[in-house]
Amino acid sequence: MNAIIETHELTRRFGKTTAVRNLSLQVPEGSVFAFLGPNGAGKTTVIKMLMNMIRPTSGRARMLGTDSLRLGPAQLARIGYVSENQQMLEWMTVQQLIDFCRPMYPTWDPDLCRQLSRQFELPLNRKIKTFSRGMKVKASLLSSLSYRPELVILDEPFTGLDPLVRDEFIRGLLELSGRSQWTILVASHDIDEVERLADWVGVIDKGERRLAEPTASLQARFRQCEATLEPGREIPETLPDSWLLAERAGQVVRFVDCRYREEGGEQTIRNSLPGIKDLTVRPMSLKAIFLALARTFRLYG
Amino acid sequence: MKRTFHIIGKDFRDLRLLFPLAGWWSVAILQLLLIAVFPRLPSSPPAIEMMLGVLLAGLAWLLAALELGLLVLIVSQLIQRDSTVGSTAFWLSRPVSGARVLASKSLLLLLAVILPTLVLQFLMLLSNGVTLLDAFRSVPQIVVLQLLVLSVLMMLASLTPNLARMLFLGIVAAVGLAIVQYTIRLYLTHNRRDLWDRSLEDSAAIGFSLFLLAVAVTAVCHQYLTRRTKRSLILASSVFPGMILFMTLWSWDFWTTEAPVTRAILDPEQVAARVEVESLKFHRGTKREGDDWLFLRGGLAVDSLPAGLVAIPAGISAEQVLPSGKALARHRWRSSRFHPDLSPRYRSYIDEFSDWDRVAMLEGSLGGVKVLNRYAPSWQLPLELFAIRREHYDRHAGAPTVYQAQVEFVVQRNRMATMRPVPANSYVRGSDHGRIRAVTGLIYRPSEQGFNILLSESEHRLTLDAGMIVCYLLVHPSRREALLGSRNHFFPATLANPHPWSGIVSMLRVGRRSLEFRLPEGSPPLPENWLEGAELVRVETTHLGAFSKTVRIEDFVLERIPVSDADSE
Repeated sequence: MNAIIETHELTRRFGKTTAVRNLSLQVPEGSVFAFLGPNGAGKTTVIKMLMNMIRPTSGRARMLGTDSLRLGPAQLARIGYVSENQQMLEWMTVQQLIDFCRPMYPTWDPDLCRQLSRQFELPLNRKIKTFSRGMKVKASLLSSLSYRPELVILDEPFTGLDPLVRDEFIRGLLELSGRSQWTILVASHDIDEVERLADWVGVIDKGERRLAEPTASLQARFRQCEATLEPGREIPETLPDSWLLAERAGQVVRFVDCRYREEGGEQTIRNSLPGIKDLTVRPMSLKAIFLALARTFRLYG
Repeated sequence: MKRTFHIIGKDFRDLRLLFPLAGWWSVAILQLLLIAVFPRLPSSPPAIEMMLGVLLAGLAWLLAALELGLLVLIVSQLIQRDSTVGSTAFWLSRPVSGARVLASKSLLLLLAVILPTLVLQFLMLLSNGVTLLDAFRSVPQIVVLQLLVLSVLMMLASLTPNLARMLFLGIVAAVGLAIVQYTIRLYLTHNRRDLWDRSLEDSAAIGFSLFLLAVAVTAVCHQYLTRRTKRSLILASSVFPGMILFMTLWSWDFWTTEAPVTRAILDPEQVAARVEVESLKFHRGTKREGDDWLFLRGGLAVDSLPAGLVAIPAGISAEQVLPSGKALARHRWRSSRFHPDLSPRYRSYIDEFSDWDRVAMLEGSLGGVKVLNRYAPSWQLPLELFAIRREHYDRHAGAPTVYQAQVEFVVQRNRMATMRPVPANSYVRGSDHGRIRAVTGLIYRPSEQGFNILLSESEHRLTLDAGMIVCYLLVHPSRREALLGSRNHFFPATLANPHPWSGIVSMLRVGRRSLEFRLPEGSPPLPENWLEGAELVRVETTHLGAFSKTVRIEDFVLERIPVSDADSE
């Protein structure tokens, strides 16, 4: 796997608070990486460290093969960054913003810029400060995608966007990434937003990495299971570690199996829980997996 | 470079920067106009003149405050719109390095603030009669001063995210520095007087200003290149220990004229000093109640002085010795009016008191005229060469002793510029550093036996230039009479540039001066047409340095010196 972003034991402390703890992560080139985590999990801090906006307390990160602390104009010209927190040059019109950004990027594509401005329906001669939040995000995207960056980093890009715009945006992004082989890192607290986009998922909680793997493998190994036991059967005291959020209601046991295998998976469950009369195993959506994980982390840390 | 100018172009399009910039330019031009127009205004009755002076001086202060305020706003807008503090600035995610952003901001300030300042100040100097050479000499001072102000403002702006925080940090820093300075001064004056040398204060202040400039530039560069705000703040706060070090350890006094006079001006070996023995006389007096002292007064003459120079005794360190070499008594005297150091720090003090003293010296230079309103100058009173107790006199009255003294002389040169005291818009050139612009008003006051002359003048002097003392005389050559002018201090009509710093650094001063030429009470009145034949003379006295000579009286027998009946303090 050729990683375009790599972190190794990345840690950032703010006073006594550890925002990110020993985070090691790899984002493969050409992937759409959904960087998920609840609010305050440390996603933005990680991204800011990647972008050399803040310095890590310890550990290191590499972007496009360069140490993040040495990220300079040459690398930044290949990265598109959009964040809900980023200040815009709001006193400019969109056209002025384009005119300001264009000379900085040798790869600026005027056709793509025109296409994006049409797609986003951005009025070029209006000042950005008069825009709604969604429009501002679009203007930011316009100025960050028009030079065909190799790596796009989106930090909560959908915040404030209405569902229609969000849908348009996701479609546009999918289309562009498919066409241009971009690597996209999307940080979000809402799995719904990125479910259709992501082919890789990384989950962070309380500054620590919980998982990072391809969406397909994740969805292959997570199953929502429901087993009905024969009357009089008791649940064993210890259940397999891979069974998350196990709960019993009468003779019914529900759990999430996070190490399910297509081959022999049901038999493994039956072996672990003798006396199953009826077993239902359902694939899970990314959102369901994320929620199951989030609940597990909350319950068990 | 192209990208640097691209960022400058972006900043120039920002109206929130452009408006204060336009305001600042307007204020700077208004200041230029004010200084250009003020001395050229026609004369008015004294009350109106006084009101006008107060009004315009107030306006000058207002404009100066406005200029500084706008400069704060400009720097804040320029720096904090592309902030280096925090992690949300637009430029941080763009292919622009901190060095390039800093270069663009600095270049913009250079083009939009420093260069216009330089041009305006240059025009201001030339329009006030300053020579081209002196105007060019002013360039470093103008630039350094502007750089100092801008770099400190840039430092405050680059370490804070917004104007409010910038002002807060600025106020905290200013108050902190004031407290440190006060505390150190208090400590030194009470506990470590050995480290306390007031004469070094001004040199140390200039040294500290340059240190502040260096710290500000370093902190700004560090912040832009690393964006490590805490470290930059620590770097910036080095001005506090810096101030302590400058106040306690600074030892280089480069701002003094106490240095010996250069041999090119005067070779002390070629000059002879002697006591005018025939003028010696003891005066009775006391130092404390119950004391009975005898003060030896007399004249000191300096021979072979180069033409145009005056040597004034400023200090005497004398002793009476027996032929065996044993010292019987010692005495030290130092003039309070002719301090050997006439550097700018003593200038105002000397300005106030020395006119009368110098007039006596000028009488000869003016062709032997008699100054009608001259009072006895302190230095021309017989000098206090020695002082002994009455008992000492009684004990050693007939003993053959030797008087020897080390006398410190201050060397001065007087330059004179003469013009007819009639209202005219002509320039009269003094030295390169001062000139009478025009006599704008002339009032004859027969009831008070004198004249009032209102004139406008400009003076150009750089901070490190030696001081110059100016006085005016009305001289009637054919009658061989003169009147010394005294300034009306209730006539505060001086505008200085740069205005907010005129108390700290000096450059150009323009003023309307009201001079009073009055006869002493009881003098016979002057004829009404006295003024018709008179000339207004501006005398500029410059300090050239000091030298010391030893004087001796070999046959020094106390009882041979007459004792005056008049008591002396």
